[in-house]
Amino acid sequence: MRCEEAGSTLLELMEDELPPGRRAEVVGHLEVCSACANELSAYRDLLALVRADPVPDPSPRFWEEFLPSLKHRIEREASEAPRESSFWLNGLRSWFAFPRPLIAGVAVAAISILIVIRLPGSFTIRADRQKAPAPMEQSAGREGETRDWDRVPHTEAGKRDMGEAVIVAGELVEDTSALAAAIQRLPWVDEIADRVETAWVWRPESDPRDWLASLSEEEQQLLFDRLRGFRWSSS
Amino acid sequence: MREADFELIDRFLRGDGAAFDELVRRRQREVYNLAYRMTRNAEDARDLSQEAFLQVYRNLNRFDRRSSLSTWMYRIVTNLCLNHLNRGSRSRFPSINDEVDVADPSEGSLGRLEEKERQEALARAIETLPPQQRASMTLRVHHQLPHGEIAEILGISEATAKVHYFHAVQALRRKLAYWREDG
Repeated sequence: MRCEEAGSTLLELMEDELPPGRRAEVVGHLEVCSACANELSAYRDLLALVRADPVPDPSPRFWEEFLPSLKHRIEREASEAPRESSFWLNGLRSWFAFPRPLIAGVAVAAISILIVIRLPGSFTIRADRQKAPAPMEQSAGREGETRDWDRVPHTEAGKRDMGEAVIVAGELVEDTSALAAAIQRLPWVDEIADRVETAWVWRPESDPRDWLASLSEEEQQLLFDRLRGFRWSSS
Repeated sequence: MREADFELIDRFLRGDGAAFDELVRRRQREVYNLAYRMTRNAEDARDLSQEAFLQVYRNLNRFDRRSSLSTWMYRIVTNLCLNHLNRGSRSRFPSINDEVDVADPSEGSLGRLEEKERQEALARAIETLPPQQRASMTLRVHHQLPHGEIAEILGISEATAKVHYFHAVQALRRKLAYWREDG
């Protein structure tokens, strides 16, 4: 076994993630290679240092006030809810009334709109209906037909016109609710549904960019790729 | 014998407010510590841990008990922290590719880093980790959670959780390589 190969498995060795045969190979190499053995030792020292990384203890007063302060916030929220937050609470209740896939679908549809802004060139919003490649109605009505649309040039005006139509990876969607209904059929949506719940259901007033940003680059790319390959019927 | 978490939840759902108080007292330090390790800021950790318990209070009736209470709460705290970090703290947490301005002991009069200096260097290196890597490492190293549970908390696959953890440790190793070689 070469040092480079052994070095790339040291963390897996420490995590006991190597299959037995592979583990034996690495351990055998470590017995004869002091450089790799030192590297393993360095990782162990590093993790010991991380484990010892202290959290500064807040003052005793902090802990004395923690629960009373929390209860005060809870009571204040409860007292304000009927007067000021009825919309918020009603929205929350109605939100939970929807089936979970629909929640995810609607949220992802919203995110797809958001990505128009975040990833210029990947998605764009139809800026001018007269300049759009083709209105949805012209090709509607043919069950199961797949549409491909040319990209509408991205304009500042388009950014402001988010309500009407979007082009998702070259495909025009006149009605974002239709997009939401279709996106919910993507299996991958379930994988992010929990995060959708966290950011949208718990805090429906929050900016969806918050949870979009919480997706890793790979996840964002996956979302984009799935939407790029997405086809929907005209039903 | 300490009352089980689920029994406390049952009492709370039956209207016993004291049960929620007990739950907070029982969990407040670990919630705060997790928030602190994620944000590296005492004030942010205080606000986020309060917000986390507020969310627990609002949502406890929807906790389905398929996971432990700890996992569920870690998930709330971690998501709050990730949102917090992604929202407004980019300048405080530079890219992992950025160089960390840590003192090189070979240039100092002391010659070696003392333990305190090492911890400070570590803290600054941790601040360069992307939030998801920091979360994976914190949950693994400080909370001793298996990668599968970390994946559940972060809403990612187990393989991705492991990759985040490995990248975090490797990044810290690169950033802090000198103190071991010179020390």
